[in-house]
Order: sequence, then structure tokens, then C-alpha cells
Amino acid sequence: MSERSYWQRMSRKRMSRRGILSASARAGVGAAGLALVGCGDDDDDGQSVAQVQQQQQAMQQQAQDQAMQQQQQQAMQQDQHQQAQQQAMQQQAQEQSTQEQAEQQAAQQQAMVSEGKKYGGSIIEQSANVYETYDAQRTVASPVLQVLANVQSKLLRFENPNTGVLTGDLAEGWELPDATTIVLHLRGGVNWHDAGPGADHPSAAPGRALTPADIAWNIDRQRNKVLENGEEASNFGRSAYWGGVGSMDYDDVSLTLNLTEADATFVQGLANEFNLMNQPELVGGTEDQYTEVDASKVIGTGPYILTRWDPGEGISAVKNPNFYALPDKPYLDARVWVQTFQDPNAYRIAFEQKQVDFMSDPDPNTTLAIHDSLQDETYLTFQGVANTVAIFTPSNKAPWNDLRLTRAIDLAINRRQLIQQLHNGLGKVSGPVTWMQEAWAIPQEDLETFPGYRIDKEQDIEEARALWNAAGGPELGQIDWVTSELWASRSAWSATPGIVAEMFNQAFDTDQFNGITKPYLEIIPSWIAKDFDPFFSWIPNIEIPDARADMIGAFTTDAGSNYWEISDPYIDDTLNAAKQELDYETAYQMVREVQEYVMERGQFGRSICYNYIYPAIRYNYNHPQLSSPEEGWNFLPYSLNSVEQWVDLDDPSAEGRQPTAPVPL
Amino acid sequence: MTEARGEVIVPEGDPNLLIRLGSGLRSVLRFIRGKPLGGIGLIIAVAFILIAIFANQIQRHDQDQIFDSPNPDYKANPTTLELARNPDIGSPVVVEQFAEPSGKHWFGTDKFGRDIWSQVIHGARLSLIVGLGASVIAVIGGLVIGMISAYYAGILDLLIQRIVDMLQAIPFLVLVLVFTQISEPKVSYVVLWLGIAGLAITTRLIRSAVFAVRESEFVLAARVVGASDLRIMVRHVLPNVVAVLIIAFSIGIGAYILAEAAISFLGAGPQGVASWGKMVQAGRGSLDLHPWQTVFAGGAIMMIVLGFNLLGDALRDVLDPRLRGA
Amino acid sequence: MQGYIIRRIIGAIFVVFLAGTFSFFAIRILPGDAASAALGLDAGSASAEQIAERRAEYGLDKPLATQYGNWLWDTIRLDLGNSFTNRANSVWYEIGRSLPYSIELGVLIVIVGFAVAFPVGLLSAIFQDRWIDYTLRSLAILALAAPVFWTAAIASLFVLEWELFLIDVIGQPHIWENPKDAITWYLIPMLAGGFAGTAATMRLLRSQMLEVMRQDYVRTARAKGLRESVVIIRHALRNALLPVLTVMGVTVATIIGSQVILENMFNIPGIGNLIISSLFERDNPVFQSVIVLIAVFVVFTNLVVDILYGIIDPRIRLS
Repeated sequence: MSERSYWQRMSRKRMSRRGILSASARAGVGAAGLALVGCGDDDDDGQSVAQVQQQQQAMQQQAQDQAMQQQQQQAMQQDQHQQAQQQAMQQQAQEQSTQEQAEQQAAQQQAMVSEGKKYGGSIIEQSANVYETYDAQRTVASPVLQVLANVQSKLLRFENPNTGVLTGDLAEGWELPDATTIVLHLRGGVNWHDAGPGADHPSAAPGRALTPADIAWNIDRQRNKVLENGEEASNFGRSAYWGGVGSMDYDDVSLTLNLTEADATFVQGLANEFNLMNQPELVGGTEDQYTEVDASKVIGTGPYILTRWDPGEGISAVKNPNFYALPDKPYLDARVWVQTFQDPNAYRIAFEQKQVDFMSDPDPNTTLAIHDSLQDETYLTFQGVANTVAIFTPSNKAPWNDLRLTRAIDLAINRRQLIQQLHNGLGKVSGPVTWMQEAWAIPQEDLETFPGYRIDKEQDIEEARALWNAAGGPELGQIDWVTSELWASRSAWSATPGIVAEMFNQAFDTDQFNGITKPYLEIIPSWIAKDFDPFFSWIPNIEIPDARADMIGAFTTDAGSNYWEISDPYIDDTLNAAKQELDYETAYQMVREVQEYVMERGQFGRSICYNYIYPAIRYNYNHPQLSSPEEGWNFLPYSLNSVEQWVDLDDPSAEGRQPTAPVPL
Repeated sequence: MTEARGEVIVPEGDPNLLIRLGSGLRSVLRFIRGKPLGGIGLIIAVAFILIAIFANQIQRHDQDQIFDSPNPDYKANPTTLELARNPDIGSPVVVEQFAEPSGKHWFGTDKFGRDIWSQVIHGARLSLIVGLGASVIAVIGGLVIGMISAYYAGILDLLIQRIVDMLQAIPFLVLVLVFTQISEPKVSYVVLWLGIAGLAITTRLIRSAVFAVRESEFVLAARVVGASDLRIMVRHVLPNVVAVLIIAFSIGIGAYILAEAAISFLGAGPQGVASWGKMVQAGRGSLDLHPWQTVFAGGAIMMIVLGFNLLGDALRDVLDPRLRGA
Repeated sequence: MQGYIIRRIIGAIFVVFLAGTFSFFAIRILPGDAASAALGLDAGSASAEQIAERRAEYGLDKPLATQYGNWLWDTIRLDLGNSFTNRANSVWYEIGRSLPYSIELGVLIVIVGFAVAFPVGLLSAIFQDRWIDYTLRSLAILALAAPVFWTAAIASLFVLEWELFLIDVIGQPHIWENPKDAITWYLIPMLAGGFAGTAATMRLLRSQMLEVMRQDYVRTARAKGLRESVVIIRHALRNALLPVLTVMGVTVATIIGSQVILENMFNIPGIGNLIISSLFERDNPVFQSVIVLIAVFVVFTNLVVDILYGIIDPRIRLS
């Protein structure tokens, strides 16, 4: 499309205008540029500003090229490394004694990361507006992880969040003697933070060594859902997961988990970003104030020590001098999160003025446009979004319990058009398992043959219309299709209710469909009551790449997220068998069969549409761990980046940066 | 405190008003000649009303129609990186996003490939319905409450006045935001809530006017003759506050249109209809590259509010005898 | 006079009470509450018990009458409780943090407004029905017609595009801390808000001037042979100003209204932003307190203006 060339045209125009207008403003930069070029002689007033700028740009280009080459080399190494990891991972499930492997991994990792990374500096990012609690175990809302993943540790970490390759954290290695037992070899010499506001809290036990009993305490409270005072609490977000642990044994160096039933997905769950370890004294001692978020109630074993946590105002964490992986990690001296921008343009203003080092606008156009205007200083990455976009039809109640109507809706959804309209084409259609969970999903080329996903949309629509008319769709009267208010509140997507309604109206050649918005406040209770309106929006975040957990949660009888009250013996049997299957190839196949079965039935009203890809923009000095030079991670990479991210303050783009200082220890 | 302020804007009654208004086109022409700014306002207002009425004839394209064309570059199963380099590659049809203004699309197309001209045209409908509808509700409500309040005075008046004070103590926009959150975001509710939020001002204006009329000799005379309260109100008081009613009606329209645009801008406006405030917000993200949606929608808001404000001002000047002849 | 003042104060307190009651019931009529709001986007996996537990913690499970009684008693004792969203923070803390920003911006808007409205209103009245009058009035009425969010958006685009100055949306400096950054940060919202607020004041000033200049004492002053500038400033303007000041209460409410949008757009953590976030997040204690606060402010501004007016102009006292 002409879009690209339009941008290019626009950017050329802008560059020249910016060049002229900002010449005087950039006098300082110009001088620096001269010094770089090495023509600090008396000649410089004969040189036009434009020339200097050209030279400067050329310099930057060169530096960038070099950096690119380096990055590519790194990426190649990483690829090889990842392949090795993947193989290792598959063996892991069947073979044991991973201790050696873990050591090997650590060695490899060191070799990779020590190249070219620099120490020091800080990263400034936007914070979330609301933090429900400082106790990650007692919430289902992910914003808290952005902070805590830097401060606390988990038993295992994802080395590759996309594929689920695991690496040790508090547990250096792990074994699976049989399908219901997990033996974790705990790392020695791990201490709780001994400084910062958390260490000063009267309940805290700062500086002491982490013990297996600490970990057992964390697991026990979640699986029993019981607080220190003996009261039961329903808000342990992963109590169902930990409930799978029947009993625990531990000694000084290892912890053994005995599962109540074989669960092949369990190990990956240990690296779920939510499964952070709390200090029993501090968190246990402040349980009655668990929603009153501030830095004094947080202590951890992680790479950073939290020094400030004032929601809505600012958050900062500084490097933990006694981190167990030192001297290698972490690279940054501090991390700072500034207040939330209520308005997307304020966020953009902050980024363009180098007050934050990263940004991503809900509208990809905006992100791309900013990159366009700051091409020399910034780079883009693209990543999938784990909040899947879906259309829910309440197939558990009349009139939608007529399978023909549910199928008609599923067929009529013009997934590729929605991706175009809402995300500028940045996205890929997803079946019941998202394309991001690559190994588990139906490949895109096969997906094109399924109803609702066909390239020839006319064929889908023809069938949809036939089903709609046969099931008496035209007699249903007005149908209000709900979009979540949060979704529609993003200016880029504000037209969504109308677009969704129009999509169905066109498909069924009617004007029955009407788009409205509702807040999650209303939507969620209606889901829980299993009495919800037809719906378009995100569905909850996928927490781990293993697709089995989500499929079981959505489709098996009485499962937690089965809002459609689906009860199908074939699905139940196949998914439960898949859950216990240790051989990945077999498990992939089983999940795929269930998907095909489900798709033939209009996905039972749980019509997954697509996962979009969003561009994120960073200044050149900002170096998170990426999956490739232009690709970020599809799943939450917080704990990976807590130890791997670094900044290059010598990079020309760091000129004029205005970092907010962290609160010191 | 109300009296002091009331004096500033409340005009005296003009019994001959209805007759003067009745003399048709000639008086309109005289109005335009006497008040050129008001004339411009009248023309703008009438133009927007015509646009709204004949929106379907003027629009050129269906406002919801999505323009697209087949994609010659289509490639099945693209990688993330291929998509990053050419986002259109994954779709067999390409939506005509952000087209520049042209013969086909006078105002260009928006992010969703829809014609901006048709949307601006249809946006006039919402703005007019909101502006006129809310004003009618505010004036009728204000008339009833204001008359009751002024005529019966005493404790009822006091209570009503304090409630009016309360409504005026909360910023108008906040009041409307709270109200619209209560109900479904439908146009009719938004009109209703804007009208209710506007009651404070109209009630106050009308009450002061009725107060003045109530003490006049002909009302006293009617009361002496034994006319009923209702009869006095309808026959004697009402005709004497018509000027105030017209002023109260016309000065609010612009404010209601702006308020609707503001709540739509904040994402709390009516759903399922073209709204200029929503369009300004939608186009704002990439304003530097694709300015048309924001510029045209914002310009439309400004024009329509300008029109009604000019008209309202001129009407007030004409109907308020103290400023007439100045 | 004393009786009048006491009557007015009682009335004002009653109005504030009404505003508080309104905010109390309004936020409870709205669908949803802080319990489900806190669970946010990922709350698809929140259970009914989780939400119920949250409601109990917030005290939202008690009967409405009990909640109202508690609120009233606590508010009278000035105990506003803690915010629902940032539970470590008291409402007083939230207000104390936001209020200075809003006052700064509000004062700047008023300054801009008056700085523009006075000369323009004056010129417009002096040159009544001449081209300068028409031009200035058209501009004023244009400023009133343009939505502030639109003008502010376009203005900030130009600032960014031409790199004119820094808009410090992160440092959030107060004027007394860092005047330069603070002024550039406030510049666009204060101009946008100021111009929009100008029009009403300017038109009122013009009409008052026109009326005053027809009065006998102005004619007398002219007849005495005083210079025209003295007549206008010393005699006419002074008398025309009074009615303009009496609408301060309304002006203040209007400015707070436009601040709601402008603070949102420029990341100013003021009262306007607090209203929006507490409303959308159903943060009852903060919302109620902010509404009461604004009502107190507006009502007592009116009260002070009226009392002063009554002292200056004895005719009012009699009525």
C-alpha cells in the first residue's frame, strides 16, 4: 500500500524542516558532532550546519551499522544456543540429572552476555496506575510483576519466554524422577535484601539466608489458601496451580514436590511470572495491610532492592550489591518507573523528550510515526500480545444455544479485516490456541482451510448467512454487541463497537447488530455468573507458553474459565490425557485434535480471533534482551530482563537524556 | 446572592415580543442587517441544520462503509518480521487507510478506511440533537421549576435555590460525566443528562424573570379579580418571560455541544453514532502524519458552536431592552 | 448585615452538604465498584469470592443507610479515610498532593484570562460597533467556540514538531521549585484554558462598560474636562468591574471544568485528574471528598464575593 511511501515522503519533509529549525537548538550537539568527526580546526564556521548534521548522521549510521552487525552475530549465536536449549528441554522431560545441564547452561549464558554489555545507568519506564497489592501471590492483575520481577525471585525462570525454555533461579536444577514428583536443587548462598525500606520494616528479617522452609511456606499458603492468622483467603491467584502439590519434603539443599496427579505442565508453571517468593516474616506479618502498597512491605532476593513505591507518583529500585549472580548481573544501577500517563499524547511527549526510554502506543501508527521522526536515535521491535482478542457468544443460553447461530457468528467474523482496521495489519489470526504458542497451535497455512479463517471470505459469509437464516437469526431483533470500555477507551480503537456491529450487519445483510461498550466492572461479574452479553475484547493474559493449561481451563467440564458451560466427554478425555503426557509431540497432536474438533463447532461461542503484534520503540542506548534484533517476546519477559537489560550511555542517542533519579538506598 | 447576579443578565419583559417576532422574513432580514454577526451565526446554524437533515443525500458514501481493495502482495503465513516490514502482507484485502483528501474522499479516509466527509456530515446530527435537545429540556424544566420556585416563594423556593446552587457548585463537565456513567451511553440519555445539568442556569434565569413579573401591577390585578394560580401563570406571567426563554434557549446550545464533544473526547460519550469529539480523539494519536480527521472534526465543532453563540448573542442584544439602542 | 451574613453562611453549608450527598449517592448508583475495578484487565480469572472479599474490605457490603451515616459523621470530623485504589494513602494526602498543581494552573488560567479579557473588553467597549470591536468580539467568540482539547492538541503538536521547549510531563515541577520547567509545562494548558475562559469575561466587561459609560457620573466627569483615559479607567472601569467580579464563582467552576480535560492531557496530577481517575476507578472516598472540596471552594467564593459586594453596594443588603 501507499502507506509506507507516504511515511517516507513525510519523514523526508520533516527531516529537512527539523534540520533547519532545530539547528540553533542543537548547537551543543553540533559541537559534540564536530569533536567526533575530528575536524575541530578553525574551519568550522565555513561549514554549514547542514553539513555538520549530515556528517553527524553519517557517523551515527556507521555506528548503528556496526551495532547491527554485532547484534546479528549475537543473534546467530543465540539461535544456535536456543536450538541446543530446545533439544535439551525435550530431553529434560524424560531424562533426569539436569544438574550438569544447568551448569552448562550457566556457562553458555555467561559467554553470551558478557560480550559488549556495559554496566551502569538506569532505565526509566512508565508505571501502571493501580497496583492491587504488593503480594504477587494474592492477585491476578499483572502490572505488579513489572516491579516485583526485579526485586523478588522464582524457583525457575524462562530463558526463552516464547518457547518456554527454562533455566534455574532459586532452584539451580531440577529432576523429574516420575510424572508426579519434582525434585528441586536449591541454590546456596542466597540472602534476603539487607538494605532499603523493606529491610527497615519491623516485621522484616533482613539479610538472613533464604531457606527451603521459606519456599515451603510460600507454597503452603497458596495451596491451602490460608493466612497466618488462620483465616482462609480466596484471593490467592494461583491456588489452583499450587493445589496440585499433594505434599512436600525438603532438606538443606533440595525440595521435593509430590503432585496429586501426573501433570506435565507443572514444571513450566514454576517459572510463571506470578510465582515469586515472599519473605514469610515480612509478608506474613503485614497480611492485614496487603493492599496498602509501599516500598517498606517489599523485600526479596532479586537483583534490585526496592527503594520507592508510591503508586501514581513514582517507583524506583537500585542494584542489589549482594545479588547471588554477581559480579555478572544485573547490569543496570537502577530502574525507575514514572507515573502513568493518563493520556497517550503525554506519554509520547515524555518519550520524544527522552524522559522515558521506551514507549508503545496502542495505535501502531503512532509508534511508527514517532520512530519515523526519530529514526537516527531509536529502533523498533515487534512482539505479539498475549492478551488474545476474542469474540464471545453466550452459547450457554437462548437464543445462542442453537449451535447454528454460534457457528454463523464464528464464520462471519472477518478476522483479517479486523486486524487491518484495528492494528494496521500487524497481527495474525489465531485458532483456539494462539499462533504465539507456536508448537501447540494449528499452523497458519492449515488454519486457512478452516471455516471462519478462509482466505475466500465470501465462502465463509455465504455459509454464515445460510446458517443464520436457517436458525431464525433475522427474528432475533436488535442484538447489542458489547466491547469492553477499556478497549474502546484507547483512541485508536474507539470505533471498535461500530466496526464489529457493521461486520456482522454486512455478513448477514441486516441492521440488527448494534455496538455498545461496557466497563469490565460489569462484564466480569456477568462472566462469573455465566450470564454475559455477546462480547468483543481481550481475554486474560496467557501466562505460560504451554497451551494445555488454557485449553483445559476453557473447555473441560466445570473448569474455571469455562463460561459457556461446555461439557463434552471427548474434550474432557483428550485434554486430561494430554495434561499427563510427558512426550511433547504426542501432547501437541492431542491438543491439535481438540482444536479441530472445537473449530468444527463454531468454537462453542469462544471464538478466538487473533493476536495482534505491537511495535515498541526504544532509544538506541536501551538494550533489553530481545528474541532477535527486531523482535521482542510474546510473553511477559520481566524476570529475563531484570537481569539482562543494559544501557549504553556512550551511544550518541543518550545525548540530552533526562533520566529521573532513583531514590537511593 | 442570586439577585445580585441575576440583574446582570436578566432582561425585562417585552409584551410586544410575539408580535414583533411574527412579522416573518422582513424581521429576519432586519435582524441580519442590524446584527451582522448574528446574521452570520444564523446562516451557519441554518447550514448545519440543513446538513444534518439531508445528511444521507450529502454524504457521498455510507459513513460505515469500509473501503478496501485486493492485495497483490498477499502472502499466507507471514512471520512477525515480514509483517513488521510490510503490515499489509498478511491480509488478502487492504483497507484504504488514511487516504489524503481527494475527489473520491473529500476529507480523506480514517484509520478504518471510512470516508471522513460522511462522518463529519453525520456528526452534525449528533451535535444538533444534543445541543437543541438538551436546551429544550433545560428550558422547559427550568420554566416549570423556576415558575414554581418564584411564584410560591417561601421554603420551597429556598430548597430549590440551594439545589440549584449545589448543581452550580460542581463543574458542569464533572456533573455530566457522572450522569452519563449512570446510564447506558445512548444519545437520548446523554441529551437528557446534559439538559438536567443545564437546569441550574435556566432555572435561575427564569426564576428571576418571574419574580420581576410577579410583583407587577397586572399580576396583582389578576389576583384581585380572583384568577387561579395556573391561569395567572399561563396567561400573564408566561408571555412576559418569553424573551428570557428564548435567550435561555439560545445561549446554552453551544455549551451543550461542547460538553458532548468533551465527554466523547474523554471516552464517555454516546456510542454507536458519529461524534466529532470522538473523531478528534481518534485522530489525535498520529496528528502529525494524518491530521485530517482531527482537524476537520475539531473545525466542525468550532464552526457550529460559533454559529449558535453568535446567534444567541445577537438575540440577547435584540431582546434585552437595556442593551437595545446602545 | 450580620444577620444576612449568618443566613448566607448557613445556606452555604447546606449547599455543601447537598453536594456531598449527591456525590455519595452518585458514585454508588454507578455500575460496578472499586472491588471489581481493582481486579482490572486480567480479572477474567477473578472469582466471585474474591470480589466479595474485596467489597467487604471496602465496607461496601454494609447497608446504604449505614454507609451514608458513617460517611457523614466521618466527613464532619474531617476524617476522610483512605483511598480505595492507593490504599496506603489517606484521602488528605491525595488531595494535598494534587491541590497545589490545580491551584497553580487555575491561577495561571485566571491570569491569562484577565490579561486578555481586560484590554480586549475595554477596547471593544470604547470602539463600540467599529471594526476593532467586531474583530475583537469575533476573536473572543471564536475562542469560546473552539474546544480546549482541540486547541491544546494542535498547539502541543507544533511545540513538539518544532522543538520549541520542553514540556516536562514527568518531573511535574512546581513553580516555586523550578519556575522555568514549570512554566513551559503549564504554558499550553494555561493559554488554551485562559483563552477559552476569556470570552465570557470579556463580553460581560464590554456590556457593563457600555452601560456604565451612559451613566450620568461619567458624563459629568467628561464635562469636567477630565482626560478620556482618566474617565474610562477611574470612573467607568471601576464601576463596570464589580458585576464582573460577582460571577467569579461561576468562572471558578468553569475553570475547574476545563482543568479536568487539560490536566488529563498534560499529565498534571491535579484535582481534575483526581476526579476523573477516582470516578472511573470507583474510588468512593476520594471522589466524594474532591466533590465536597470543590463545592466548598465554589460556594465560599460566591459567599465572599457577595458579602464584599454587599458592603460596597448597600442596595444589595436591603433586598
